[in-house]
Amino acid sequence: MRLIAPQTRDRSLEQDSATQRQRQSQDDLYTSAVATFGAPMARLAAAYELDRSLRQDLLQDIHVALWRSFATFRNQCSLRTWIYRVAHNAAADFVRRHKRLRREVLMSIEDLEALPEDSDAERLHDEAAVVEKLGALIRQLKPIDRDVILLYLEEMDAASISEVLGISPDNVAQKIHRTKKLLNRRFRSGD
Amino acid sequence: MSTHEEQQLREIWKGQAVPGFRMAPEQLRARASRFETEIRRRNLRDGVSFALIAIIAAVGIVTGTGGVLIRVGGVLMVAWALLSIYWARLYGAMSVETGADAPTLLQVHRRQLERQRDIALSWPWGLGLVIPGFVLVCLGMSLGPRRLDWTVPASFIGVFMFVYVAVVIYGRMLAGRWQREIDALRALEG
Repeated sequence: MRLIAPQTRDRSLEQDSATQRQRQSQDDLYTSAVATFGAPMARLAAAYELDRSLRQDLLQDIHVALWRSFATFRNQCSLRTWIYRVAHNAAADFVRRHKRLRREVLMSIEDLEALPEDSDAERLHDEAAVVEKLGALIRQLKPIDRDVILLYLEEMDAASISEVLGISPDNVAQKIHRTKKLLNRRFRSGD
Repeated sequence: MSTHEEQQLREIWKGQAVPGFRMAPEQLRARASRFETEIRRRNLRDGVSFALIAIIAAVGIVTGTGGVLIRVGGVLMVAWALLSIYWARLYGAMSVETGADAPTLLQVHRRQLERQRDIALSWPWGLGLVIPGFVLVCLGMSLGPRRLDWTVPASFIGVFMFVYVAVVIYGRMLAGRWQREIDALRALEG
């Protein structure tokens, strides 16, 4: 029979209970993040990945990355900024891993803007077509530019986008300006 | 595009049907641990392949009937394989970086590019350090007790040098391309 000193046992119980508390708080943060930001995360996955099964994989990767990240969340920034950073990092990592297999050439907003238009602008009344065209447009872009458009579509202002992506506010403003011009060429009012 | 159209576009985007998705804590833990296992396995695979080279070379040194040149070349190759194991541990596959402070996408992207660039730039060294041992082993084949025809080691050395030069040129090309991307990202940081 093994004898364990009472102090050692107490310390080990304390550690167990601290780990338990940390896990609980990690799970709670994840639950509240999914309740508030579940839809934007799903839109992020939909915008990044066209293939349905890969999209599901990506969404799972995003959720796992988020859950793992909450182990170190100490209010260093707002919860929203944290969630978007982690989710976009996981999505960009997923694209990098799969780009090798697909051999895609990704472009910047500037490259895309310079391309001649080969089709008519999509009218905004056909919502499914607009979402599809927006998705196709986003998937052509490099990660940073992709995220600028996505965060812009999620109604984030330039300062918040800058905080999430790490680009200077001036550069974000410039990219948003170009994004608007690009969207203007590709979409028009259905009225 | 007018502000109204902008708003309309954003509403359409946000109004798209997406599935409600949530993972149970057990699923999250299982997937996170599977992910860590995959990373460890990938790092282990790199280490094991170099360890195999080291073992084969060591066995050759101890039991082989080759001359001094082959033995010295073998020792150099063992040293190279051990150094490569150390490098593989140092630059082994990383997990998705969420970090203690959730770095921004730009920081993560830049760090990964810098890492790729450094690896590409290290190829001449990584592969170059095996050259002395390899050349000695090849020379030992001709000059040692078995005395193979000199064309055999010469063609081994020729093929190896061709591959080496191609790898060095390709590595420099890749490193240059990644450096340009890193510079572009730095410019975005403002």
